[in-house]
This record gives sequence, structure tokens and C-alpha cells, in this order.
Amino acid sequence: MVTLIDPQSVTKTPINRTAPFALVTLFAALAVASAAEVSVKIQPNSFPVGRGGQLSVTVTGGNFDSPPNPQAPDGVTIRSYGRNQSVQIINGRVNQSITQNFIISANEPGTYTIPSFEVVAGGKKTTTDPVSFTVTTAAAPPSLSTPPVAGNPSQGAGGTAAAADSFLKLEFPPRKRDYVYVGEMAPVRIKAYFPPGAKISLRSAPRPEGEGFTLHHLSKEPEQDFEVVNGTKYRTVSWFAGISTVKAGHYPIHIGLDATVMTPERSRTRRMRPPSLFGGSLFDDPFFDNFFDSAFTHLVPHDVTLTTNGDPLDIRSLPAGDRPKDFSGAVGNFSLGSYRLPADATIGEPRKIRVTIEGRGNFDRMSAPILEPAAHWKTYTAKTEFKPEDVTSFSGSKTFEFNAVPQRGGDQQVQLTFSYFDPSEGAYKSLSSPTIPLKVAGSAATPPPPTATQPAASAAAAQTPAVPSTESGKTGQTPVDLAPSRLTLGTDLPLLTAPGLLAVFWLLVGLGVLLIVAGFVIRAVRRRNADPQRVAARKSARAESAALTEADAAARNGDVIAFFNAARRAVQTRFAAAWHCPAESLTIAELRHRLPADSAALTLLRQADAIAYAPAQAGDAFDAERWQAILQRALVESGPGQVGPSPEALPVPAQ
Amino acid sequence: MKRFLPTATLLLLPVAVVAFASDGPTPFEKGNKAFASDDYAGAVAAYHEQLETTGPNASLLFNLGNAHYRLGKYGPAILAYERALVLDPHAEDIRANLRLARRAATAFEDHSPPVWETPLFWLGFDEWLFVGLTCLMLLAVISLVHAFIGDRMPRAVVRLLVGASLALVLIAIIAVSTRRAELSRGIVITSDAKVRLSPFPSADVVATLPAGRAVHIGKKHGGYFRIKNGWIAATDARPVYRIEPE
Repeated sequence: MVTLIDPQSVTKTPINRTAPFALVTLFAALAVASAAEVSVKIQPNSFPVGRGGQLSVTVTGGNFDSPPNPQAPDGVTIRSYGRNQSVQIINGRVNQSITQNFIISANEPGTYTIPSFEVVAGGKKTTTDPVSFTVTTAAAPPSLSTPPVAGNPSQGAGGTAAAADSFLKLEFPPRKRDYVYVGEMAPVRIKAYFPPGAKISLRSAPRPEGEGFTLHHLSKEPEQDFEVVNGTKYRTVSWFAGISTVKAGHYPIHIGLDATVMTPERSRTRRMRPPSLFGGSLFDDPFFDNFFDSAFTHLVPHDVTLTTNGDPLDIRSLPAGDRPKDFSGAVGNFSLGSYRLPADATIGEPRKIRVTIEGRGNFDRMSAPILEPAAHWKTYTAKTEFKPEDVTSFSGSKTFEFNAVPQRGGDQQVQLTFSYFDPSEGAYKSLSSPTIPLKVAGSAATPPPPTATQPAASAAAAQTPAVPSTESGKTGQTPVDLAPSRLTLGTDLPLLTAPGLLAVFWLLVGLGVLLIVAGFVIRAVRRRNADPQRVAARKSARAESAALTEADAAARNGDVIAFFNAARRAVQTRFAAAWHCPAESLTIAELRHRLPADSAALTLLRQADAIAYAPAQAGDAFDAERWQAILQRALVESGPGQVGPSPEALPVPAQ
Repeated sequence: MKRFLPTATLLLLPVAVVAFASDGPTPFEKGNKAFASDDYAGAVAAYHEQLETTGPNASLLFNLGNAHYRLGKYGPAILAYERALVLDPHAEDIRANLRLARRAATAFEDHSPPVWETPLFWLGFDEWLFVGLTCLMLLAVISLVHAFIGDRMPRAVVRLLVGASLALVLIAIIAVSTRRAELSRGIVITSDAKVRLSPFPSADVVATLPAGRAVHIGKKHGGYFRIKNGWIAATDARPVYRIEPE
């Protein structure tokens, strides 16, 4: 509940100075307030089909830890209707309460029970009691003679008086027509009038009562003022809202409001006031009423229910004859604002479209503009953002952002179209953006093959399934279907999904690298082996080795001639390899030029020549061991600077 | 005749295995039958049985994705389709159904690599690996042959083969290194999956992810995977490239 503050008292009274003190007192009182208590009630607890009741969940002395969540029984609709807070100090007793309101309604007559539910408030869980309400058959439209003020009949004389001074008015803007169209929206002001000296607690927000219309965008903070009607001063509380008609016919526009009017016991206050010198009281001003009422007077609360008195409204259906195909229900006067179309597209790839519609009217009934050519595009539900330009959200701009997927390739001329009904002219109107050339890449989807739900489909067909058809005659209406399941298992190599195979892969990579390196190594070795110098060296080494083996064998056998022949070959081969010349060209004369005269090689070759020319003397005094040593020394002399001791220096064998 | 016996045995062995295994419908066939009779939960169970028996297969994972899609489980459907695409990266039917599942889950993936990277996506990840491996082995063969009979090989042919193979190996290495993040790709399979600050159930929730959202899965700790902004329960997300029995 909202406790209304007297605007005059705020602006005129010196009591403002005491506000800090009052606040401190208030919070101190709140601090010592008792633990939170939860109560649930439905008001009224009997109402006809088409109307609603208000379910109020009230926490006294605390706050909701989490919003209450009553469960609706079958056939009943419950929707949240805001939260009220009330802080009252009556006779020094602080009473703070927070009420969560819900609107309940049902489509069928009967008695319904909202089961108990859990409310967490002030750190405490409380389970409410089940509450019942009755829905009666639809009520006849209220009589035109219904008085403008409907006081609560249960009130006594004071309550009746308070109710008689209170009433509710619904103000429409001036209009040229005496009829409206279904879906048309109008900004209205709902104004409640109360006695100027009363304290007012609102127990509900204004609510629609009756068929044929709905109430939108009710302003959250009502405006307070004073107004003189027929010479009587009233406190007024005003809300702004939009009223939208929902069905054709003649229906009165009724708005209801529940409030508690707290009036002072006037006999007591009057006795306390000083007499007037001029026949009237200096304190007749409502300010003084308010001051004294607040300070000294006992306030008596009276619950009242106010209802507007509306004449039946002629609500007409929208003409059906020339209704555009893309009309989605927008009624008002609109224009196309900014928009964004894609510069390129590819079949099957979503593109983002953004478009803004501006104007005045019923934005709630508005759907996104159509992207033409509609048959070539599939569009998805749009995200919307509405920016109101007035308190009733009657004028403003609504931006739609949606994904569109091209279904056909080739060149297209795309544009956005939007149709609405203009009630002032009574005709449909269409808006469209300029066409933009767009080239859609890719080829069109092929029709789908038989689905897996058809077992007769051949395995061959299942092996080559086509992409699903996304063709639809109406944009965004027909959902595309899945490509069919496959009927046979194919063969795959799950390389990346099987860790073992991945190891084999890396093994093969390693093997490949190894083989490449091996190829290079082999080639290098083969090249090296094919070098002529190396070939000659190997040949020389082999010949030398053979000659030395032969010389050893001859020495062991005492065959002097064979020994010296083999030794000559070995020495010539060695020196030929060292000096890079043919072995046959190395004669004693040649060696004399290169070696010292006492070299082992010359000694050996001279002896070999001697044996060759006088073989008869070959066996005389042949010291095999000495000549083998000379041979070894001769071989060593082939190296640079390797001329060894003279053969004479070698040990002479005993004769 | 005797020398052909081992070869004939090797050729006939798969036939014998298939013949032996074809007693009664396979779990895959059972799954297809359940799918055809709108028993999508039964189809999912049968496909999982086949998965555990024979391992991952593109057709099997594709059908599994379809069954999940029909059940309205778009997260597991997207996961199955992505796994199927790993095995069969050029299958248009898999791509089409994956797009449908992403749209249904409102998990659009705006994957548009830079122009210069476009060729790297012409082949699948594993296809690049195969190309690289094949070219590497070709280089190995060329290297060995050239080592022995290099002098007799036409030099132009050798240069062409070596150049082409080296280029493909290089491109494959670039492709694999560029797309290596795919190996850690994962899919959220449950709705409103909670991302926690640390890998513990009591840790603060830092975000919730919708089903079908792609994440990069890191190391595993307990029952949680490390992702970019926190930790996600292993039951809420699955890696695409590591297919384990569920």
C-alpha cells in the first residue's frame, strides 16, 4: 500500500523542520517492531468471468526475502501486479507493511482454491493458508446509471461519508470519432478524487473492470494535486496509462481502485480549534486540518472501492477486405525509421537485420517488418527494444533485430515492408524501405531424400543424403526438418578421436623423418665411396696388403726371391699412393732423387734387384727377420719426413 | 597355390567377421528402427551401445545427433554433430543438421576466419594431418630412391615432387598449428551450465552457459574441466575430440 503525502503540507508547513526527528523516530520504531507476519487475502473474493480479483500477500514488520510464488490451480491465471509499501503511525503505533499483489482470473465459473505456499520474509519461512475465491458467470455490462462513486457498503456512516466525497474519473484525449477500432490504443488519465483533509492509503493500483479493453503501461508513481470541482476542493491522485481495445462490440470502460480513506473524528478536532472572529475559523484551511489531524486527531480508516462510470464505447472490427498479407496487428500511425540490411549473403548463413518503427499507437501488437522477397528468406523471432516517448508508451520507437537466412542464391532486390492500420483514416497503410541489390552466394538447397522414418529407402540413397530443405512458402513459419539419418555405418579412420591411432601417426611421422635423413646419409656415403682418389687408395691398400701377406709367407718359407718380389711391390705400391704416381714408375733411380741414400726403401730395392739378377745367391745369408724389419721401415718412409735410420743401423744378424 | 593362401585368408577374414557378426540386428540398426518409430530415447541408447562396441563413426554420431535433436536436447545433438564432422568433415547433411541444432539452441557460431586462413579450412583437421604425413612419406621415399639411383632419375621430376611435397608439408604444418585450438574444443551439453570460480561444487558461480555453447576445454581436475573463465562440471560439457563412453 502507498500512503499518500499531502502535497500542501509538504510545501507550506513548518513541520518540514521536524522531518529529521520524525524519520529518526520512525526508524527507531521500526527497529523495535515485532517479527514479520504474513497474511494472504483475495479481494473481492467473488467476481464474474472476465474480471479479476486481487491476491495480496502482505508482510507486516518485515520484508520479503524472495518474491512469493503462489501456484495457480487449473483454469486460473495469476500474474504479478506490483508491490506496495505502507508505513503508518496510528496512535503512536508504527505499522510497516509490504504487499505483493497478484491479479487472479479464471475463464470458467466455479470455486477455486489457491493452495498454501511458502513465503520467506524477515529470515523466516511462513506457509500461508489456502485461500478460496469464487468466479461467477459473466456479469452484464454495468448500468449507465451506476453512480460515479462506489463506497464499500460494509462501512458505517463515517465510511459512507468518506466514500461520498471520493470518486474516480477516466479522462480521454479529445478525439474526432465516437468509435474506436479493435487494437487501437489511447492514452488516458485515471484521476481519483479524495476529501482534502483525509489521509489516503491505496490498496491497489487502478485495474480494468470489464470486457473489451486492457490497461497498459500504468505509471508507477501517481501524481498528487488539489483540484476544485463544482466549488468543492479535492485531493487528486492521477495515473497515466494506455487503454487498448481487444474485441468489437459496445463495452463500457470501467476502472476500479481500492483505497483506505482515513478521516478525522471531526467533533473532537472542532472542539480544539479557537473560535473565529469573523464567523469562520482561521484553521478552516485544509492545511490546518491536516496539521491538527496529524498531530492531535484520531483517524478513522474507511475502505472504499472506486469505479469509473464509463459510457459504452463503440469498438469496431478492423476491415478485412483490403487487409495486407503482412499486416500483423499494428494499429496507429507509424513510419519506418532506421534500418540495416546486409551487403552480402551466403545461402544458409544467418545475417542480422535491424529496423526501427517510429510513431504513435499500439506498439504491443506490432510484429517485425517482413524482409522481401519473403520466399527467398527464412527469418527468426526478433529481439525487440521499445523506447517510449511519453508516460503511457503511446508514442515512441520500437527496434527489431532478427536473423534472416537466405534460401536461394543469385541476385535479389531486398527490402523491408511493414503494414499497419491507421484508425484516423480507417485504412491500412504499408511502409517499405528502398530496394537494395544483393547477391547471395552459394547454390540452392536440393530437395531432401526419403527420411529414415521410411525404412524402404535404399542404402544408396542413405549414403548420399542431401541437405535438408529449407524452402517454405511463408517466411519464418515452416520449420525446416533434419537431414535424414543414415542407414549404414560408413568407414572412417578416427585418427584424432582414438588416442592409439594418434600415437601411430606420430610414429609414422618419426619414421618418415628418419627415412629422409637416412636417404641423405646413404647418398653422402655413396658419393664419398665413388671418389677416384679414394678408389685408387683403396686399390693401392689392397695391393699393398696382398704383397705384404705374400712377403710374410715367403719369409716364413725361406723363399728369398718371392720375399723380395713381394717386398718390392709393397714398397712401390705404398710410395705410389703417397706420391700419386704409378707404382711401375718407381725405380731405384726415381727413389734416389726423393729419398736419402741410406733409406730402407732404397736398401730393400737394391737387394731385390740383386736377388733378381743373381738368383743363385738368393739363399745365402738371408736373414728374414732383418729384411722384414727393413721392409716395415721402408713402408714408414713413405710418409712426409719419415726417413728412418739407415739399414746399417739395424741389428746385423749373426752369420 | 600355397603362396596365395595367406593372401586369400587376409582378404576373406573381414568377410568372415562380418558374416559372424551379422547374427541379428546391430545396435546401430536397432537405433535406426527405434528412431523410425519415434522412440528417440531408445535410439540414443542403441547408438551409445554401438559407440561402445565399435568406437566412433561419422554415420553413428550423425544419427545420434538426430535422435538428441528430436528429443529437444540440442546440446548433446550439437556435440554429436561436431564429432561426426571431425570424422567426415565434408558431409553436407551433418553440417545442415548442425546448423539447425545451433539455431534451435540459439547457439550461433560466427566462425569466419580471415581471408588468408580460408584455405586452411578447405580440409578437415585430420585430413591435413594425413596430407602432411603422406607428403612426408613421399619425401622419404624420394630421398631413399634418390640415394640409390639418383643419377638415373629425371632431375626435373625429382625437383617437382620434392617441391610439391615440401610445400604441402609446410601448409599442413601451418594449418594444424593454426587450428590446434580445435583439439581442445568442447560443447556445453546441459542448459544453464554453471561456470564456477574453482573446481568445487561450493565455489561461486561466475557465469551460466546455454546448451550448445562451444568452450575451450583445458585440464581436468576432479569432476571439472578448466575453461576460459572458470571451471565447468564434466557432466555439463564434453570435449569434441575425445570420445569416451558415457
